[in-house]
Amino acid sequence: MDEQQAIQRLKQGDISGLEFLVNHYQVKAVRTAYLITRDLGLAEDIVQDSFLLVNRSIRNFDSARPFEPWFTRSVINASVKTMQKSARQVEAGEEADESIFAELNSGFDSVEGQVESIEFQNQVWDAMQKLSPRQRAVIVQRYYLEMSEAEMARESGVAIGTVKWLLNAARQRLRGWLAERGDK
Amino acid sequence: MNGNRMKDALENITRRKIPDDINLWPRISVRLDKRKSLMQTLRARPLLMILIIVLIFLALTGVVYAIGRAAGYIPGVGIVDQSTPLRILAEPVSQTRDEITVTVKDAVLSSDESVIVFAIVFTGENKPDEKLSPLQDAICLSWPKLRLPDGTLLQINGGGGIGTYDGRLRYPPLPANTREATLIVPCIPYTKSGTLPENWELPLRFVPAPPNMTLIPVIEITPSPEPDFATGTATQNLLSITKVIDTGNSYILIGEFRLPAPPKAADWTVQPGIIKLSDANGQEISYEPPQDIDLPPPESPNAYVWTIKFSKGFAPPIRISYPYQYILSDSSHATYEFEFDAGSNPQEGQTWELNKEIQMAGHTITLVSIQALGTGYNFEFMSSDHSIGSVGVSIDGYTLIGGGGGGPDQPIGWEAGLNYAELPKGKLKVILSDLFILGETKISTIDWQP
Repeated sequence: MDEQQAIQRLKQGDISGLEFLVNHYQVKAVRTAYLITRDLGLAEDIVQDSFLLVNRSIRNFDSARPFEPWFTRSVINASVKTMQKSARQVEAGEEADESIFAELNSGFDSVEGQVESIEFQNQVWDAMQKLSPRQRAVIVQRYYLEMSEAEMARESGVAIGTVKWLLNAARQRLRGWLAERGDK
Repeated sequence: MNGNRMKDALENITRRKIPDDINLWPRISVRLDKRKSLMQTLRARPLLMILIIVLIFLALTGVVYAIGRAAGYIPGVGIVDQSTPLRILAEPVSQTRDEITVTVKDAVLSSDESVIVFAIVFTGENKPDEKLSPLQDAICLSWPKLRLPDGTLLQINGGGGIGTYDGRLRYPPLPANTREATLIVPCIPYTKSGTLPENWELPLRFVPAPPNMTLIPVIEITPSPEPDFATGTATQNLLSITKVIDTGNSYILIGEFRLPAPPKAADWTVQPGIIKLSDANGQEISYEPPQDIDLPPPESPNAYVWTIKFSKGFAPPIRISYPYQYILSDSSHATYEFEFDAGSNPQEGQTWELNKEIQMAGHTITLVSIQALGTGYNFEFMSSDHSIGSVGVSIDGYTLIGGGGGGPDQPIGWEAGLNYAELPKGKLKVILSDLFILGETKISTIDWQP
């Protein structure tokens, strides 16, 4: 069975089509949700719900389009929405003033050269914690899913300029914190 | 930012936590089994069967109106979820310092969000300087936060309004038993840091909404598929109306425009145009975007959400026309390089009128001018045949820290701004790439009858 056949089967009510899609896309989907939610249990729940949504809405899906971007968008939106709704409040003093981000963003390349790979991963993980769910999502879309800015604009339903702005803001924050940690 | 390094880091982070052999299917299949089939349910509930037949009849007439109306519209606040009891602001709160007044005029707390309606009024000399630039000046970019009695801070989720200082702040929902909170305004947004009063704290008190509080129903519409006579299958109109609000003297419509994928384009986006409304007599109807409705995210992939408000008194039905234009990436990945001599000491505002014609991917672009601005340059381009949407600009050897662009709102021109840690000087290699080509403008329409 290939993807087109799986979708066709699912449209006809054959659940084996869904099983095929789950087997093919679950790992990347859970990893994507995890990068945004930072909670494995929550990420798995979101991906399960997203597949159940696929089962309910597959009849509206245009079979001429690739399945993965459509599904990934659903996972990203659900992850961001869940995080925003869960009201994970930032403790007073923990959040940084946005105006300092631009000042912190220089020197990232030199920091990159200095740190070991595993340490860099930990720094990225820690720095991403300080981004908002929406900013995390654009970083995940651009760097983990390797989407172009035009794809991101289309998938998010916003102008390409908005994506550039969001991405630039997220990058600046990330670079700032990475540079800050690298200096310590 | 080094993309490969970031990709590797993110990949390794997730691999450490989530193995390749993760298997969600058993849990998903259990949840699928728990769902009764539709026919099982219908056999058990004949009244539901009748209701569905009625809905199918309504669907055949064009649209299905939602039976459960969980959402309500409050003028000035927007659309709120009223499935659980609402809480509202007990009384407006206002503070004035140095002839600047910050007021919380209203608030509505629902199960899915907290909406704070606020205004900042400048009555004296202290006013925001519109010439300030976030790239060049130390300005306040912090939006107000909501502090709960236990000290936790809620960050803003969204908002909207008339300008920067009159509108709504949207926060996550407050716990059901929360009766008070404090709006923290660290500084007045988009003003120069340290010049105006900072660290405002406005205590807010919430009370249950009175039972007679009126919410205007928001009627949800599910668009019915339109038959495609060529294939015999049902397809959906690109344009759909998802919500209708009858405010008494006007209508508010919220809808979506779903983007069709262009043929043979891997990378594309769409430039939406300006919506036009006309009535049964062909008379153009004026409308405005409602200032108190923050657009919800699109409900379907590749979609734009739109909203319009227009007065009653037209000849129905009205026709909504939505123009759109594809912007396609240049599949040849053409680039163009040239040398630009900025000199050893370029001055702020210095402009080089170049009118340089450039050929890229079979299109002619004119680089009209380059202007030094702050720690960067502004490039002005023109495409005389209207065929180019934008082009990426970079200066070889310099790392961009910001930038932006405009257009193609003017008929044939657009700008690209580049900002660096320090202004690049001397002979610079400018590289043009990432061409976006404008496609044909098309119009999608839908008719609506109150």
